[in-house]
Amino acid sequence: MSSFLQIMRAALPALVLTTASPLSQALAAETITIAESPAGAALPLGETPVTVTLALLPQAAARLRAAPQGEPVYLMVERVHADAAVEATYEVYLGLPAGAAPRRDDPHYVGDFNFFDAEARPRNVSFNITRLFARLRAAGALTDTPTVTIVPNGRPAPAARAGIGRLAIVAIGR
Amino acid sequence: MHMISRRVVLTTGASASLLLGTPDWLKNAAAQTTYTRYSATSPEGKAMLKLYEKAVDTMMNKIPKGDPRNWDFQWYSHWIPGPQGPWSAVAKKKSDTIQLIYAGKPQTDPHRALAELMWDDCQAHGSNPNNPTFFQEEFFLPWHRYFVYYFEHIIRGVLQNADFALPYWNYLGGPSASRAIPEEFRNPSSALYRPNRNAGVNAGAPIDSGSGRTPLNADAFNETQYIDSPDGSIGFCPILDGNPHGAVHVDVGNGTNMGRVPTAAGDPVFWVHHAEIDRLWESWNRLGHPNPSWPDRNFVFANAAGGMVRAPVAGANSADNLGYRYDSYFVPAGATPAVAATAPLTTFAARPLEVRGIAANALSLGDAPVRASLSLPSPPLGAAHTMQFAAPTTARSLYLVLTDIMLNADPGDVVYDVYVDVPEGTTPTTSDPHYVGTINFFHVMPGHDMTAAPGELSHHSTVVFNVTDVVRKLQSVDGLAQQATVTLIPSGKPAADAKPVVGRVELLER
Repeated sequence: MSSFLQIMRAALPALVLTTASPLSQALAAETITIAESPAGAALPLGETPVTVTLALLPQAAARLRAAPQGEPVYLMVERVHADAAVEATYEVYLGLPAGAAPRRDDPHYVGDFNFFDAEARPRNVSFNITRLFARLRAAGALTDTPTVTIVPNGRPAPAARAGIGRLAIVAIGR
Repeated sequence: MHMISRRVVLTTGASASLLLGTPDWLKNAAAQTTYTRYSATSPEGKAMLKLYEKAVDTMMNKIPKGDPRNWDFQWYSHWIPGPQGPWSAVAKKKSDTIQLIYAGKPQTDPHRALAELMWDDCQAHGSNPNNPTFFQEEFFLPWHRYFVYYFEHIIRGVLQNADFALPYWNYLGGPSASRAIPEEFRNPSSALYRPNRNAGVNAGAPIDSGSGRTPLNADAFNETQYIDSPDGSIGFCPILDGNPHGAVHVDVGNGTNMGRVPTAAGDPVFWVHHAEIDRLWESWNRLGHPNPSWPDRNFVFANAAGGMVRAPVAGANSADNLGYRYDSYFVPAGATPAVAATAPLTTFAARPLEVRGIAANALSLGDAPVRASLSLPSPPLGAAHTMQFAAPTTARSLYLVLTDIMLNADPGDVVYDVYVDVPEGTTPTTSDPHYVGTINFFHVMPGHDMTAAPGELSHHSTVVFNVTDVVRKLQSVDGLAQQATVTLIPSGKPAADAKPVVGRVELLER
């Protein structure tokens, strides 16, 4: 019997359960990067705040100035990782003016992220900034080089070697 | 029969005679159609917490280690205390822990086999480079739904109380909300107490205020899609995973308890936290947001009797489908109060599979027939681990499942015919009534598996045969052997370096 016939014979009575397909890839809408941190830059996080300037992607520049009505916009903090429990949280701000004291009730406050479940593999964290983004843009507070400021809250354990990868502003195209 | 079968009885309308031989406490459960989970601060929830305390004490101190109903067994199913990565370190820790707990017990020991399958299973907290699609973010919510659901069943069994339902800790909003850990978990003399939580937590301070704490929020409810980016990080599921889920973990505990995946499920508050996460998911559905169409995927859990259950992800699509509801649902500010929930799933594919038999070892295939005996996964205490095939009732089906079919290289022109209950010493053909089907290696050929790294030959596949009719005919015509066996007979000769293996053989029923 040829291999082909054997395969066909074998296929008929059996139901083959494939391994789970990456559902997220099948479900997801397209993400369009508007601005991002310099390529390849991994950012260690410690006890002092850090500010990163994002570069606007030329092909998406129009979205920074006038995003399509109702288009969701997210701030991505990618490759959140640590070697052990960090035992501190980090606050995230978008476009915080230089010298301004970061406070969670500040209109530039985006949210907090932590390192739960960031030991086995780096984790990407997303913040829905659709309203914040529109508000800052309307107020003229977003430049072509938006900044993201990350501020520790608590004392991060040095042995945890906490860090992140790319920061980006992305839109969801429907 | 175990608790999940109650749903099958209800949904299929089968007669109550199916419950013969069931303990009284479980018979009572069959009469109850839906459980209600109450807020931990309500009178009903507080009554349940008293039962919960008793159950935790029993699971920790009276049920032996290694039994699936033991506290540590359930904890380790989430993750074993130790490394969370890299995978080689995780695997070593698991192997060492199993050696320690099951010292002197063979690999065929049903509880040991269940530990092998269940421990370090939490979705989506791991990363296994040998099986890169095993852990996936979209399974975070359904896996934990089942984890809490079967834990609840185990407690009913431990307490011999069919009325138990796990309360939820409402920390997000509404009349019963409290950011303080429920007081029952703060009493140092209680089995629900853990001394090493973060400062102030055991004093009743709100968990999310103070230095180093993440404020809890309901931002996930701004999302209209379950998963909305190719990397799986945008959408309701991943954002809820971060906050409040991850935030509550690190706000309550540190690297020795709730604040870290491998130690988190050792704290009894873990379970009421995850009941709340489950309620929030159900609440989001009730606001009109649908779940995705789930892929074919089963998770392994232990039922109330400590037996193995394979639970399909689609079965966790709604709480209704699993026979419980909440006393109230979260409604974010400005949202329309609860609308119609997703319809209960009663489809065949969504119902759990009960494990009826399992082969002790992987089958190495060559150019001669290979025969394997199946044993009971959870025999009565003291009984021999042998089993006989038995045709299920008309409403149910029996499946022979060959899993983790692997190759080292192209096997050439060979397939294997699969038979059940073949008399020893005979070599049947495919026209024999014992024949159930044939397996080939098409789906595990090098290059077919797109998830494998270049040059990597670690490919996996599962083949399922519905053997209901075969077993039924054998039972009525020839009778069945005392010892159930599965035989694989080659048709053709495999290439010497192919070394095909069937990793696991199981008999499932639903």
